[in-house]
This record gives sequence, structure tokens and C-alpha cells, in this order.
Amino acid sequence: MQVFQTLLIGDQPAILRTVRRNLTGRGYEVSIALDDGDVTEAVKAGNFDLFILLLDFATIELDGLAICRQIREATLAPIIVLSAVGSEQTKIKAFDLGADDYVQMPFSMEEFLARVRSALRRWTMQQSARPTSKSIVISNELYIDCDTHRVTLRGEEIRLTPTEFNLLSYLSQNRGKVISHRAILQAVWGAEYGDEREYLRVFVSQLRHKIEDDPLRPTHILTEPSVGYRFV
Amino acid sequence: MSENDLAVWNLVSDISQGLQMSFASIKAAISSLLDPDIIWDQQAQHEFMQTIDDSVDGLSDLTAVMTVAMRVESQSLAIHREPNSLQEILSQAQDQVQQRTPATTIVLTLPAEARMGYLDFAYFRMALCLLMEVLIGAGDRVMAVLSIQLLENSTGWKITFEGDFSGVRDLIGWFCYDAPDCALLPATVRPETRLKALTAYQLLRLHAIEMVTNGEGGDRKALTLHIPFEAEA
Repeated sequence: MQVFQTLLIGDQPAILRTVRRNLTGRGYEVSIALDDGDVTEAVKAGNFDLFILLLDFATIELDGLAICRQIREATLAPIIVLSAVGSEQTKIKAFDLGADDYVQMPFSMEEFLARVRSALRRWTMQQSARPTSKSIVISNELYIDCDTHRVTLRGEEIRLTPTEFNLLSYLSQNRGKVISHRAILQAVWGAEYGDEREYLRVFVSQLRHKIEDDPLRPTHILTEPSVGYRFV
Repeated sequence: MSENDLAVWNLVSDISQGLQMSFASIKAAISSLLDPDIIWDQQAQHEFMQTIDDSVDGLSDLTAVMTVAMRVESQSLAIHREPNSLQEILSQAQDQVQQRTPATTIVLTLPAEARMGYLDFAYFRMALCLLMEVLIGAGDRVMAVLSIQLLENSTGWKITFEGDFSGVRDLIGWFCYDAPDCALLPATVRPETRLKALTAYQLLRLHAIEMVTNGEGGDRKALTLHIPFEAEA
């Protein structure tokens, strides 16, 4: 059985203790990083499958969002952000900087653990992806290679996070169809998801910035108001 | 809205986020204990219970301080001055803070006899506790010893706090401004500590107590509260 390596980042002892106990109790290996320096050391030394970042640091000098970016620059492994801040802007910023999921505190442990399982399931699928010969040529310019998880635009490779790739891949495999928000969320994030429309707004926006000539007038990922998205 | 009002509201917002963190710890611990999928051993159960206990204490303390701070801000806090023993108030404050900060030794030196002071026992003790907690906890490292001395002279009493204040010099300086307000509190200090400092200051000012420090900037080694006899009136 695979033992997942998790790095838990934060400086609030009570919540760290509880999250760690829950993860270790279910067989996950958990390391703790108290600040950005610890994160740098841990990422160098370990091969983590999941990062859980408590965004709200008690130490004034530490910026959780900067640490989110720091992790994303070092690895493509999923990042789950935990935060007491429920503002849309903070969520969007966290996603922009590489977070894959955002759990607002207070949360039930059951819900949190379901999200951990989803993130690891996606990551495992990504890691063990076998050649499927499902490469999709969208146009002369855009090429999605599902075998290697590479996307090129006019011959230039575009760097996508695993979640961005899964989203693009899912949309492109359903080219021409209108897909509901819920269907996309469940296919890309997992069965536990369905109401997190803001996730789609942010990730679709990120994809548009990466693959569309003019993100304000997209030609590939179209919004179907109140329903979902359509890839053309 | 004045700069001070804005700073107070920002502080309340920061503190509310801290409260959310405590609620999150409680909810996470309780939902862990209630989870039917896992049987926790005794040590784990104790850890969750301890988390809940600590978080509830933290919430209770913080909301009590916030309530007083907001009542002072809205000028709805009434203090009731009665003759009280400063020795008694200081001793109780020392006991209370010592329990919470076992890593610091609080040394209290009291005169054998001192006049009674016209003070609100509960709010003056609260101010002293908050002040001690701020001095002990605001720095980067744990303060080893905090010495407190009560002296009486011809005009009133002096309570002097001495210790390694290297981590809290700015904060001590703030206490001694002519008119310190929330907007001037050092931004590098954590919100909970800023709230405690603000509340301690407000309560001391309601008792007409002045604060002075010896030395400037990096040389600050003591903070003294002057309690005038005329405050009895």
C-alpha cells in the first residue's frame, strides 16, 4: 500500500496538532514546516505527494500566499489551503498562486479528509498516467498530449499545474458539448465537489490566459451562462 | 472616520480572524472525536480534549479583553474606585499571569505596608495582567525574569516593571507616548498582543495612571506606572 508523504505548513499549534493526528491516524506520513525556511528545506529533502498549508500565520512576517507560490514553483504536487479567511479575493489569489483546493475554517474533519483523498487520487492518477494515445489536436496551434501531459501552443510548451491540465483535458475530450459546473467539478476535483463554482471561474481564467490569444474574447473555452462551459 | 477608529476596526477584524482559528481548532478536534471511522487511543483522545480546552480558554480570554476594549472605546465602561490594597491586587495579578506563563519567573517585591489606593479592583488587576502578558509575550524569545516592584513616596505609588525588554522596546515606547492610540501601535506586534496593550493602556488611563520609561530606544529597561494619591478624589 502506498504511503503518502504530506507536508503540513503553519504555525498555529492547536490546529496543526489536530490535523497531523488525523492524518497519521489514517496512515499518512506527515512532516511539519513552521515557516518558509522549513518549506524550502523540506521540499529539497523530501518527495511530497501533498502540501497542506494553513494560510493564516500568527507570525506577522510570514505570508501564507507567498509560501503557496514558493511551493508551486518547486513542485506540481497538490496544495490544499486551509484558512479562516472566506473572502473571494483571497481564494482567487490562492488559486492564482497554485493552490488546488481551499478549505475555509472552521471545517469538519470528515470534509477535510475527503478533500485530502481527492487531491491524492488526482495526484496518483497524474503520476501513474499510462500512454493512452488520446492526444488531441485542437487546432494547428494548440496541441494537448494526454500521454505526456504536455500542452503546446504554436510549438511552445505551456506549463500547467496538474489541476489545470486535468481541466483542459476533460473539457477538450468533451469538445463541443455544454458541460455543467457540477459535472466538471466532479470529473476534475472529485465526487465530493459540486458547488465550488469559484474554483472553475479561477481555473478557467488561468487556462484562458495560457491558451487563448485574447483571454477576454476566448475562442476555445466558452462560458455558457448559468450552465457551465463548452470547449470548441 | 479617524485614523485611530480605522486602526481599531482593523484590529477587531484581525482579532476576529484569530477567533475563527480557535473555533476551527475546536470544530476539527470535536469532529475528529466524533468520527465513527476511526477508534482513537487514549493519548489521541486526550490530545483532542486538550486542544478543545486550550482553544476555549483562548476564546474566553480574548473575548473578555475585546469586550472591555470596545466598552472603553464607546465610553460605556464605568469603573468603580474603592479603597483597595495595591499589594493584594499585584499579588493576584502575579499569580494569574504566572500560571499562564510558567517559562517566565515573575518576581514581585512589595513594601511591608502601603496606603490603600482608590482603584477598581477587577479592572486594575486586569490592566496589570494584560500589561505583564504583553511585556512577557510580545518579544521573539521567552523572557526569563520579570521583576515588579511597588514603592510608595510622598505623591503616590510607583509600580516598576523590569526585565529583558529587548523584544518589546517599541511597545514600551508606545505606552509612554503623550497620546498613544491604536494607529501608532507597532505593526510588527501580533493582533492579540496589540489588543491587550491597547486595553491595558485604556484601563490604566481610566485610573489616571501615567506610564514612563527610563532611557530611550534600545536602552529601555524599565516601565514605571505612577499612581497619584490625588486619583483617590
